Amino acid sequence: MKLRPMAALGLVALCAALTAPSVPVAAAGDTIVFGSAVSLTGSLTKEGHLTQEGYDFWKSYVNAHGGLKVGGKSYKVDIKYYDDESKAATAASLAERLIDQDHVNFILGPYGSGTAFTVAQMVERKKIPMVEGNGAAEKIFSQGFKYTFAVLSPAPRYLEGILDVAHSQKPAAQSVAITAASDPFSQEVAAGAAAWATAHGMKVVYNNKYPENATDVSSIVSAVKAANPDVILNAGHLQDALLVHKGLKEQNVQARAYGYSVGPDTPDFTGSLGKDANFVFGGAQWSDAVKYRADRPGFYATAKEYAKAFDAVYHHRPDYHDAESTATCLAFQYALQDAGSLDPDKVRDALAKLDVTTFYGILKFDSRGMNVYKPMVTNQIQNGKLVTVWPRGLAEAKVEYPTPPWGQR
Amino acid sequence: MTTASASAAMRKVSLAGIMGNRGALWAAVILMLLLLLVPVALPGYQTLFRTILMYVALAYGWNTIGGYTGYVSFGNVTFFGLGAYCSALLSAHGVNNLFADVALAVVVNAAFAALVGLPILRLKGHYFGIATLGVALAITDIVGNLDAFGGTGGLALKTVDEAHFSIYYYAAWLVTAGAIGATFLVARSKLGYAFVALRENEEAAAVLGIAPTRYKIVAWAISAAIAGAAGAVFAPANGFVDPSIAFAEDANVFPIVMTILGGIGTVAGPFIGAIILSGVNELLARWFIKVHTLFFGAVIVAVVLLLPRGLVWLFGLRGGARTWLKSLAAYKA
Repeated sequence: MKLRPMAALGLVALCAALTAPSVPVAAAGDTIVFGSAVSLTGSLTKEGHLTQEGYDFWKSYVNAHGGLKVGGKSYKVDIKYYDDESKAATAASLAERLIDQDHVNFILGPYGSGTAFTVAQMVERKKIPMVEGNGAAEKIFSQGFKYTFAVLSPAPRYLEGILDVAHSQKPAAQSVAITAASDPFSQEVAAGAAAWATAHGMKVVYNNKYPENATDVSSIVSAVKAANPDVILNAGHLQDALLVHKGLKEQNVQARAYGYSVGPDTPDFTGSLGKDANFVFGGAQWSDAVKYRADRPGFYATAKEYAKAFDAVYHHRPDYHDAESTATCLAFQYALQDAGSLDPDKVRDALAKLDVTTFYGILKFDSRGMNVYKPMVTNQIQNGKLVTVWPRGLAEAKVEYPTPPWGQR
Repeated sequence: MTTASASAAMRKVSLAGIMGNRGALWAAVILMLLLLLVPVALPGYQTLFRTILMYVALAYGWNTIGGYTGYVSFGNVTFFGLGAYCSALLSAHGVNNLFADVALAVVVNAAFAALVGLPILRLKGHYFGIATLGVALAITDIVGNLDAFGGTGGLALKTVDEAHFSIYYYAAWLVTAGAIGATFLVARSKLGYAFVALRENEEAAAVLGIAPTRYKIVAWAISAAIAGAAGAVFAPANGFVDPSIAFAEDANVFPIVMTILGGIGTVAGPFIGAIILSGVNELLARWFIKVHTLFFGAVIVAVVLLLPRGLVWLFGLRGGARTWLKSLAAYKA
């Protein structure tokens, strides 16, 4: 056995395997193929999995109900996934492959604003429409992109509801401390919250950022403690919420209300924190308490029906990441029906004109491609259960306020 | 073949190592020429191969300081990131020209490396490695807090349209070819011999009249210029730069692993290592979508255990699998 010929052979085999077409997908024929690079590994794994659940749930529903009717013809739907490893540059390369190599018809967005931004640039160049439900940074939509649409409310809105709740209780919260991860989404969330607080006469006693993917925030927590705020807010993702909340307990930082942009809504939050999760507020794009009724057929008409069917499949309550991901697919479903064609430009135009109410709320895009027409909700964890408490018309339970000391929750 | 003759064979390879194995070098040249065809032959893989080229260039940048001079840097991503920001800042001021991007990145990074190198290249071994890591972390934080750099929100760059997009690929190819060419020339020059002399015995080299700090700074400046150029062509193609993208962990760690896999301190090594590691990573991601990073880790461990001197060393071994096993035993003894 000679090593050199073997090594050379190995190199050739590697190159061949690399450029061989991956699992063939039928972009033509009777199937509409969507492509998506989601975070299945890396720091956004949990959120990435929820995104995938939301997409897959829609796919199963459509295929079980005779497929999608577009221009008089019925199509099955399929979704081709890649793992972007929670990295923006990887997501762009995968989107290119989905479009050029796998020939998918349309793109479903990744999880996270950074990844959504680079994929938005790719679809813009390739002129393939993307709808996304998990990248809320307004920065994405100030670039003049024509092929990217988002079904979710913009980032600056995430924590406003929590401030509104705390500000209208007795004793009213007067001061707020804001901690934020350094990624673009969290920065916009924090800026939005600070602006709301100032406009409503609340004092921002602390407002600082820490590096994204941080594993230690104890110095930030100490600074928050020193500022002694009525409300403590964190703009970040699930990992940040867990880290900050554990840190606050460790240093016994007492406030009247605690709120997080991402975290309380996901099933893992209560699972990881136990009783300490009680009384915590979370800003949410959606909850199963919303009372919209779909004005077009083709999917579950209400949030309750959606939640029940979802729970039967995935054995957990759908959180807002699940719902906004499903809504992403619904935007395509109705736009495809309106366009009556699979032509990317016709579908893009139909998306731009879309105005439909679904179980998730209104799906309608402004000239930038953002959905500014759907309000957010605020949830609170009460006795281990997530309930919607704001806006008042949708409240399932009374707000529990102020938060009792650590150890009595 | 006895153990003694196996280690004699290894010594021969390590003497030839400064140029790398001739066969490996030819393989690299041919592959490099084939890579020119990617935008035409495999348009859907352009971004993938552009990323691979970027890693190849970064590996060559690292090899200059870490391989030839023997100063193991864990902070070369600093130069990649600053190069990316050079392009982003030029674009923000209305200059969208790849030549200007690369020129600025090369000058800025060589100067910055020389400046930082003055104090930290006096450190040796682990201390130098830790200092470079410190520089990388500090620069990431500084950039994230400067409004002129867009803070943590990042900067968007103007990109060309789809019809002309392959210019970014060819630009990355040119930068990579330049990095290989520069390494080839340096390895054959007095400069290259000075670098290796410093690696083998700094005191002895100083006695022979090689001013250690001066040569080390030159090596690090070349290393930084290559990494900066790679960053400068990456940014406009990506269209967006923020600290987590520009100073990504991958851009710091992958080039080191690639160089070790291919053959540290050789001309062909970084190229072979980068191509193979990127390829394996890509295939694993495709086959095992949810657990591929686990397998990738296993591959890296296997490489260090089975190919401690890299693939170029394997190419250079005459004989079969038994020679390899014996050489491996000799290396570990």
